[in-house]
Amino acid sequence: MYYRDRLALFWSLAFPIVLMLIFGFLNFGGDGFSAPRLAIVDQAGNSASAALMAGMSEGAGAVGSIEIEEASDIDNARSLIRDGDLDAVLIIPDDFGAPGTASELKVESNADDIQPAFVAMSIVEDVLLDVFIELSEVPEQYQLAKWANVSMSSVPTVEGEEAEQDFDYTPFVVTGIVAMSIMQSGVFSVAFILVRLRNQGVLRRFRASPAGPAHFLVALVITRMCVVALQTYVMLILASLVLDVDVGPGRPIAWVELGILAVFASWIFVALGLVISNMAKTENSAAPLATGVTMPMMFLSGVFFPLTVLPDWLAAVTQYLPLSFLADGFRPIVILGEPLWSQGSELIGLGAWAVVIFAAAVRVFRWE
Amino acid sequence: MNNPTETNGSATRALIEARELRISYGDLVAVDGISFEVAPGEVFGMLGPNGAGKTSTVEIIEGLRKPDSGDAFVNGVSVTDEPRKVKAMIGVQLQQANFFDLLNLREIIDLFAALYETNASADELLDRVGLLSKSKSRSKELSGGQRQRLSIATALVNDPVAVFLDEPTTGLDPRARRNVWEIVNDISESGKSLVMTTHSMEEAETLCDRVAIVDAGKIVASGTPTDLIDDLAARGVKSIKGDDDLTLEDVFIDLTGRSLREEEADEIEED
Repeated sequence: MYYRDRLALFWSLAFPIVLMLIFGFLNFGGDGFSAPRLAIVDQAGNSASAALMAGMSEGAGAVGSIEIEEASDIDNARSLIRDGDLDAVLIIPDDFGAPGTASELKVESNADDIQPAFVAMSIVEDVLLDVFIELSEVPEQYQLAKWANVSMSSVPTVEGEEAEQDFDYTPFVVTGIVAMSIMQSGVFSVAFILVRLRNQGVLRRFRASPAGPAHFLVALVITRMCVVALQTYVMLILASLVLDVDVGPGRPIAWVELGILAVFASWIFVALGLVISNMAKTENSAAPLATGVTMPMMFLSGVFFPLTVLPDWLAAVTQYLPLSFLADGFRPIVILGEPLWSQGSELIGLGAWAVVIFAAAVRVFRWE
Repeated sequence: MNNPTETNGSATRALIEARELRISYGDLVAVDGISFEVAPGEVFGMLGPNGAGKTSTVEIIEGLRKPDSGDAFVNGVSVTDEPRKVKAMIGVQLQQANFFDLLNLREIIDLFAALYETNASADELLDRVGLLSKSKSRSKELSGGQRQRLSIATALVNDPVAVFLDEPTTGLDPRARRNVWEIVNDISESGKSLVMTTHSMEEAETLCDRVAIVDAGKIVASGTPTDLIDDLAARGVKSIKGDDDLTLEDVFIDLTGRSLREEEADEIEED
């Protein structure tokens, strides 16, 4: 019966697929949405390094493409880079500016994300050139070529800790949209039909039968969960065939785990749909309610962009949304090939939501 | 004859028995101590204006509402104790007759057969209500009368001992109404008991072996239509229409001081 409901099919399957293809192909801002962040570690602490740092800030302001922060020590900066909270670090060695020495300025960044390092390097070179011109009246030994050159290297990896992966937008957004589509079809596929059946008295007619409507409800939930699983697979197969997303790299079992996660999560959103169907009096009031619940989640749960672009206080709240847990649970499995069982906090989060929303659904459910 | 409890003494064992049913919604007492019995094969009508408590009464017996007090029995089974057992024995047509928009008629009958765990033949049932030619249509393509007939077909999937019809012809045009009447007669002839509510005098007179006139949650009179009319005539009451033929309508006006038809707000639908 479900597949005859063309409108529901469109919203739960065609719509997310179109969205996925659009975002997947456009690859919006593949390298993140904010300017690269550069930290400067000043080990020299002399007038030359001060001039360089002042020039950097000025240069960065003019270019507008990099954010500069100060960092106390190298290790701190490196760990920030590994966590993805910083993109590159410029290290001014202690012999910088010392007469007669050609000291080595180093820009370090993640090996697989060197774009910010390039930006930083070009600014450093520009600034050094400026400093050189300013200092050209001073004796020859201070001249640029003699005392500094810039090199680029990657942050050394720490044993046992994996470097933050390259932020590749396509798999990120594709998994986000798969998670979103689970929410959409979960909520929308039960909310409307239940309001309709209740208002038409169909549920009531079921209640007059010895089987009772509970059978019907269980059947409804189970079919919706199957539809969600099917839809998740359709989208993941499309993503891997059309958008070249390597789903669960090196782990074919990831396909099974993703199905399990999808079905588990669909339970939450189907239950959410049940709650909405009980709050809405008519089909017309169900629509804004359902949209009002799902739309904010769509944008606050890191579907289209990472939670890091949200203000910290907002992200601190929205990371606990069910869709955030689902998207965060999906991504490491799809993108990094991590096993499902390592997504502990996400699974706990989803489990908690499942209990809470199901309890709410049971509490508010009305047959008529 | 006007005393509803009088049938207790009848020789045949009642198939359906309502005993002192009472239900109120907030301050409104919808059903205020209704009792009656229906014999096997009998067509029993509950006649009264909207809001008289007919539907509530029927829904208590169907197991859809819990009475505040009293009980109802079908074949001796208490509906408050074993609602599922009662539901399995009876066929139900509710006032609001809608079905899944996306299923065709045959699928709807099959669905109900599954709910009642029977192997009813969809074609046979659709044929019985004159909808066999529509078996591939969706329910939303049906007219009001056809929908009522479909609704009656779903009430027959479990070959019930008694069928409850709640205002089966309200809102139907005369031809569609007559179609439903034929089906009711057919069900009655197959030996099943029928309980129907209506606010149409004509319907009650035509179909029912016995009627109970319900007003404000109480049965104010019951008996065969002829008995009720004769009783009235014996008291010398004249028909409001001025002619000599008294009808159930006159009985109702005599009992309540109001006309039934005033309460009727039917829309006539095309069949």
